[in-house]
Amino acid sequence: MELLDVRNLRVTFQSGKEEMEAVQDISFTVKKGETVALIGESGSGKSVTSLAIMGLLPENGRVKDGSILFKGGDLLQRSKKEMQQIRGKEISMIFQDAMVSLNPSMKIGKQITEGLKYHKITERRNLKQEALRLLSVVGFTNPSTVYHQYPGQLSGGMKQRALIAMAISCEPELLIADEPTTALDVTIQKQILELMNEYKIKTETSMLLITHDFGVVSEYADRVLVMFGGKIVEAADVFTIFNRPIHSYTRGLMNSIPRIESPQDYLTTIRDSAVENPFYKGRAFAPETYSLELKTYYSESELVEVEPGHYVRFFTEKEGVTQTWQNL
Amino acid sequence: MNWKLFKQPQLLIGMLIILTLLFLSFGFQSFFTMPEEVKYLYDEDGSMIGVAPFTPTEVPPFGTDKFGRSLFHLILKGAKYTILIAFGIAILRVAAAGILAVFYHHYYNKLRTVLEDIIESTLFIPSSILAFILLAPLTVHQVQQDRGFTEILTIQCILLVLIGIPQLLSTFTKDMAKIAEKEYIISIQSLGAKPFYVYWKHILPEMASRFVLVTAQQIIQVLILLAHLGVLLIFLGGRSTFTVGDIFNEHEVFTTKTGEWAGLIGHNFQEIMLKPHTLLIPLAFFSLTIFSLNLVINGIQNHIQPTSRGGRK
Ligand SMILES: Nc1ncnc2c1ncn2[C@@H]1O[C@H](COP(=O)(O)OP(=O)(O)O)[C@@H](O)[C@H]1O
Ligand SMILES: [Mg+2]
Repeated sequence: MELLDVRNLRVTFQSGKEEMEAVQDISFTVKKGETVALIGESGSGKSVTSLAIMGLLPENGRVKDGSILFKGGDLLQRSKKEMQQIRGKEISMIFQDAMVSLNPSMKIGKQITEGLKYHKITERRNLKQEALRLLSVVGFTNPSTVYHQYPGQLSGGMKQRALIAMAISCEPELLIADEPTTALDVTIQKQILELMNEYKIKTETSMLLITHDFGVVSEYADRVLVMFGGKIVEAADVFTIFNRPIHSYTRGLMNSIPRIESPQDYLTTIRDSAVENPFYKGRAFAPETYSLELKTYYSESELVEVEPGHYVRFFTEKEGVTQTWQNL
Repeated sequence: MNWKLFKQPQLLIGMLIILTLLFLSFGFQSFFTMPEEVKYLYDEDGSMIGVAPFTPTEVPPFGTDKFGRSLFHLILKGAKYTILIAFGIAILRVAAAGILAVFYHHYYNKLRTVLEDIIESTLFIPSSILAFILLAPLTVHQVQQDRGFTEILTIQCILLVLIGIPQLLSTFTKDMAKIAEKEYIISIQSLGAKPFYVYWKHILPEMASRFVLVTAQQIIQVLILLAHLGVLLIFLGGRSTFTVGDIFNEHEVFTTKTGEWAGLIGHNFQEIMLKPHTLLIPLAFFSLTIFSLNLVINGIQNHIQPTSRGGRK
């Protein structure tokens, strides 16, 4: 059984009278001990997907359709109370910007044990000891100093470590990391990702790693979901994605990884590669354009399994239409 | 909020003035020995040279009112009632509105339809008028049914507290909505925090400086409100009636039972042409108190502002 099984998830936002679809028909699974990467440019619906799993969508957001099975039970059917029991203890989340994700007027030591308190995992008198242990787990060499500090007194990387300590405090089975290192500089990024990966391997925790960086994906993910405009456009294991990327959007994203040996690649944009070849074996990739400002899915599209475990989004073939494509 | 707040000089000066007033007011008897009542003044020969009210030069330091009561005594004695009652009403307003705001914000989607219009519409009625409309019948009631002092005072205070709540509820709820959107609140929720725990541990503490600030502002509002009501002859604790004049020209004068300053303004209001000091001196003390409170408010604002720019500590 999969640990997490998201099926046909659809999330909409109400703004005024208009309804906007931020996530349209997303399905994926995360197995025990596995790292699944959700990659896509900003605005493609990654955070919305993770907040939907946590049951923490903003006021105007609503899950329209689908199911989120966690250990076999649908999270969407749980009451608010039951979700509180699950959050932090079974699924927890590491946020993007540690700068704003910690309460600035609460001491670090107190703050990272909040979860233990909610779930009554550790006795009150042992909380401090547990906090110190957690702080050393995430790499602080001076836990007792940090314990008494406020977030404002820590650097960005240190804050992110504290945030990780908070997220792993109750030893959840699934960690959702929403771009956990975007706000940090490159060397610190590496340290934080290593820390998370080490912890994950040691404890066999599953991880949903959200990022827009293919470099991160290549190093830490087992499977990859490429997302665009609220839909998955390509999904496969990490080797397949890197060796045989098929969708032009995926290829575009990969080309935008900066490489030292050929700096001109850095300038390749996703739009350029999209024009390069919009077809695969005679089928047209969906969507039409990779501009998030435009409405991008004009016609119906579907995920097609092109080889075992490798899915690519194409426009749904209709009688007659296929013929024209093949003639192109 | 933290103790650095008390390093603001304006705040300290303001608090010092108010605390001095309170201190003098409570320790009154042991500090001053001037006569409390001067109805008639005599010269060395024992012949009468004047009848109350007296000006500050005739009877220092502040003169007397028309009953011969020393204004200095009245003001200092009244200080504790005035300041403490205003303070009490302000605190109750803020506390009640703070608690209600938690529920209002939490159940906003359900309560909005019913409450929003009611709350928004009360914001446009001047509180003096609202207070007068609500409190005037009580005064009549008191005279007709001979209600007790404490009973009247309690009802009046409750009404004065209630009058202030809608406005505060509206601002507090907006503040909470802003804080609740912050990333760290969502982060805390992602750990499984119960909603009311989030309010108690994270949202309300974040509003602490704001609560102090608003309390100070509310004290000012209540003081002004009491002064207005005093002019309209409504006093806290009900009024006591004096009969003055001779049999040909007898009239009743109303004054306060508690001795708070609004009473002095009320019954001296008619004297403004003849003996302006009887009105101006109580007003000066009102102004002094409000000025001190404004110092306190400025001090708090100076303390809060750097944090709202993002550089906490
Ligand atoms: N609170 C909100 N109200 C309305 N639209 C939202 C809200 N949050 C996110 N969206 C929309 O949902 C889409 C996906 O956003 P998001 O999941 O944050 O993207 P990302 O992949 O960068 O994490 C965006 O188009 C964004 O405008
Ligand atoms: Mg995001």
